[in-house]
Amino acid sequence: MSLKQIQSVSRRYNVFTSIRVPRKDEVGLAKLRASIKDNFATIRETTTCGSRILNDYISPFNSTVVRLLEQSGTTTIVGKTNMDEFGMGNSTLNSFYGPTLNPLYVQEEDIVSEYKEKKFWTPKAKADSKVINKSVLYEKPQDSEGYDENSYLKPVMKQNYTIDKQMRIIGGSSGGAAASVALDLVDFAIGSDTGGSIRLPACYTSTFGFKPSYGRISRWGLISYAQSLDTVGIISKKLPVIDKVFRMLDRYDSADPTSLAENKRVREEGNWYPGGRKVRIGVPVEFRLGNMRVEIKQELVDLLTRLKRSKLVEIYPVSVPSIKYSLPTYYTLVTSEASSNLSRFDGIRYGYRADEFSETEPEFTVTRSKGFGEEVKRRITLGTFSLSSYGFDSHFMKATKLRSILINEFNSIFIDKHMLLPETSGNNKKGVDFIICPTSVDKPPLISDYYSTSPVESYLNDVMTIPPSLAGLPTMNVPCGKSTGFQLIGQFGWDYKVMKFSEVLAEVCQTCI
Amino acid sequence: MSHQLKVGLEIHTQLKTARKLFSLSHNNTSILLTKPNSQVSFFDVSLPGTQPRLNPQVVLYALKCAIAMNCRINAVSRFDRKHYFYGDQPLGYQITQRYHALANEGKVVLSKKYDGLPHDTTIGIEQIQIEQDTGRSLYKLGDGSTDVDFNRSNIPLIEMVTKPDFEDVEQVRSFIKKYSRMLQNLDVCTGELDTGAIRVDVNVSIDKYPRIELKNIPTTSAIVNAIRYEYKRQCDVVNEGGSIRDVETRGWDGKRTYRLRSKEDSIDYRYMPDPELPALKLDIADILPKLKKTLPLSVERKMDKLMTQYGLKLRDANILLNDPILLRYYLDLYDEVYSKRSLHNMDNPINWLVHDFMGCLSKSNLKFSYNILSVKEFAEFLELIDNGTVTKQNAKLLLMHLVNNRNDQKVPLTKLVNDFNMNSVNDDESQDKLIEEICNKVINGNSKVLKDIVERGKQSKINYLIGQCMRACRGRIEAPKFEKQLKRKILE
Repeated sequence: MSLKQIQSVSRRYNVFTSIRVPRKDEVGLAKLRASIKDNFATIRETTTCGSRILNDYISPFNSTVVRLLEQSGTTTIVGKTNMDEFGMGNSTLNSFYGPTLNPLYVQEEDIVSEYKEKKFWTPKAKADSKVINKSVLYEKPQDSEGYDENSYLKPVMKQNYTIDKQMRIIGGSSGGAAASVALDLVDFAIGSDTGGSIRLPACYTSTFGFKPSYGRISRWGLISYAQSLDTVGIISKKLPVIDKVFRMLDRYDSADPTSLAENKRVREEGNWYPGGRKVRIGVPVEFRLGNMRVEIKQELVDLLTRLKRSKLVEIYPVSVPSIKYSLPTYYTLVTSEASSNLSRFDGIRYGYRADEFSETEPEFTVTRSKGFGEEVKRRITLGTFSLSSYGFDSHFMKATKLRSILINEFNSIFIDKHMLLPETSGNNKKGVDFIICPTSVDKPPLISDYYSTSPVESYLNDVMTIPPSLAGLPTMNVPCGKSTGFQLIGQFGWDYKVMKFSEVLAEVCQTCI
Repeated sequence: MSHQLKVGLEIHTQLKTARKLFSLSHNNTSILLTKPNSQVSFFDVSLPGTQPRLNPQVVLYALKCAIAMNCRINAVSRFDRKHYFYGDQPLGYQITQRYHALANEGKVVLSKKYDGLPHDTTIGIEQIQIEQDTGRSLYKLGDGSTDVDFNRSNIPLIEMVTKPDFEDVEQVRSFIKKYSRMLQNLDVCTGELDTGAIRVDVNVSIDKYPRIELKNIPTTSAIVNAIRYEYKRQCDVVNEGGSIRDVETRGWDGKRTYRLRSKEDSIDYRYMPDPELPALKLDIADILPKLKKTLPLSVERKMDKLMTQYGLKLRDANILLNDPILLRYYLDLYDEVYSKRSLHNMDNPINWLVHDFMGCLSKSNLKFSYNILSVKEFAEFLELIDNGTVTKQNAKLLLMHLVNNRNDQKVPLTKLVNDFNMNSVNDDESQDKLIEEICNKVINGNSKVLKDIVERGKQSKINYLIGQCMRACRGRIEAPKFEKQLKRKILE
């Protein structure tokens, strides 16, 4: 697909925060095309996190994920995708660069007026060096031989645009990533998932979205939102592509202190169901939520019935009682970590700087007030409270305890061992291989409705995706009809098992539609 | 009315590891010429997407300190974040160990024998924790702006907190000295207060009143003065019927303490366990015995050794232990003199080294280093005194010359002595003759002084005459010989 075509498609749904202009020697090779969520550091264009505070920020280094993809020689990066600012949101409406719309729904009018080319020059990297961009020049240097020219296209939103009445949210925060896949602009998208940020937009765009076990793909270069949950993942329409990309990225990285050790990554395949036993699937009773849409409940029943019929599978009701506390637990932990992580953005060393101050507000305060969007500020405020001397024990520590209870409960129902907690897991001989549950309680809301819901109500959309995030479990969104999907959740460390069974589930889902 | 003083210390110490605490940049801010912001990696300035990675050497150094202070080392310790906004705090928080520190419950004994205190005192150690240093703010007076140098950012610190066990300022003084020397001996810190490698905060309280924290006091003498001032201030408040109600933080302006902030405007640091740094787990049973084997002899044991084996006085042993290079130099010199040159009857070279030689250096504004005068040259020089080639008086002049004219160190010493005509008059006959001549001349030329001595009994004035004799012979004859002759002549 040409650069022109990419722009013209992206104009309608606002997929990218930047589109990479290929260098001359990069054109025309048959490779997998990829998009990168704009919270991964890259050296050839800006890395914005969808925020004004990083509007012009150019990273001097590549994230490990991007480095591995580029070094593999099999991937071309098309651009960086729009997102809810710093990953905070589930709609991709909270971006400094405008909303990303859901390509599954008709949009009559472009919302991006144009893509503006921007250039900068960086000293040529040595072949073996991971680091370049020691200095960034915004004008062509005299000695251009020693420099790489970097060129990218940045969207300019229309002043006024109309979003179709029937347009639904794409989900988030990796909305741009999901859109790039749904629109066939790329073969796969790299996203990040903290509480559902890959799975929900994958569900709403009917694509596969894989959130691996926590720590399985390096986070080095991923700008932290809440790093005890942040997980790098992959969206694609094709499971074999996810499998291929995951194998490229599934390795220990010493730069990431939470990177999973090599011996904690289950790799052996084929001995998952010893003695030819049936695959045991658990359905948590706690997910029978009051606010779950009847159609989705019905689809779950259909899916389970068909699975049962296949004779390969046994279905069990299971109970994970703490699931009912997971929403408040999650929002307490996530906002606490975010308030801490985002305190580095003060305008002093990089990023947007307000250049004004008053008697009562030092410059960094003005910078942060103007640089962050409303939702980010709301979550920083919430997190600041949870960490204050008033809130620490009653909120933060309580949430931390509830999280470990939840992990223990998951461990008690899985048959496999949790690769980081081998003593307290895998002891239930009658345990299940997977858990299946819907990814969302409902179809994606209409954008017009979403704008009028309160922030707290909007948090409820995450209720299905949060529990596996809190426990760090590998989870795949398997699409099942338009804007509907089911999560396949496996035990910690058993990512390949989840990917493999996703094929079965996908096939059954195909027949559901 | 007198009140019981209670003092506790919180000491931040920079560890001189090769690299920083959580990044690979070099840790060399102790070199003052380091260009600002030249020792900075991505993490040190908190670039988005960077992550900390613990430097194991820091753990090793911190463990050495913990062992030296007899602490309980925790099998599991963790890292926490302490939040506050400041221009030189790039993350917006400092990574520290608040909830689960590396080590707790240690003790340091301040002794009569080694620390010169009236009686032995045990100071309890509450906690030793690993944490990051911040950048350095350079406030510019002109336009009110501030430059920030991030070279110091993320340098490893240990924070050591004592129990409030100090009961007078001399204990504080000797603790700081002892602590600094202990770290130098372990070779984990430069031990300097003036460069900020060791920074001391002090908690002062009287009786049962809340403590007052004194921050940013630069030197040991300032610390002592600040405590004295603060003790008196608190006593005055109480004696005048007042009370000290709240914990307060105060600074020191060189003369008096002043309020920085009180409880109401204290910062809520919002401590939080770091969500990505793994817990530090140590196999104590395995590593402690191994680590203890690698530790050098303690300062006390070294002092014992210097005093018994080398026959040094406490004072001289102290001087050597304050400067590891000087100590090494002394040991080499000792070896050179007694073993290699077998000058068994020679006086201990300690006086020539720490008094005369160091005196020359300070007169010439030089800092001691190993190369100013080679050990061999020094031994040769001592040999000249020992065999009577030069008198002690002339030896001092020669030493001064060698220090200030280092090119002449290449010239053989005996030649220098000849060139300067410094040779002692050693031939007995000619010496006696010369002494006789000079004494007569001096006595004849100073009749007034002679009168003072003989008639008024001012014995000490004889020293003046000795001096005149020494001058007349240009120091080539030892002074006691003149003294003997003069006394004989005058008093008999």
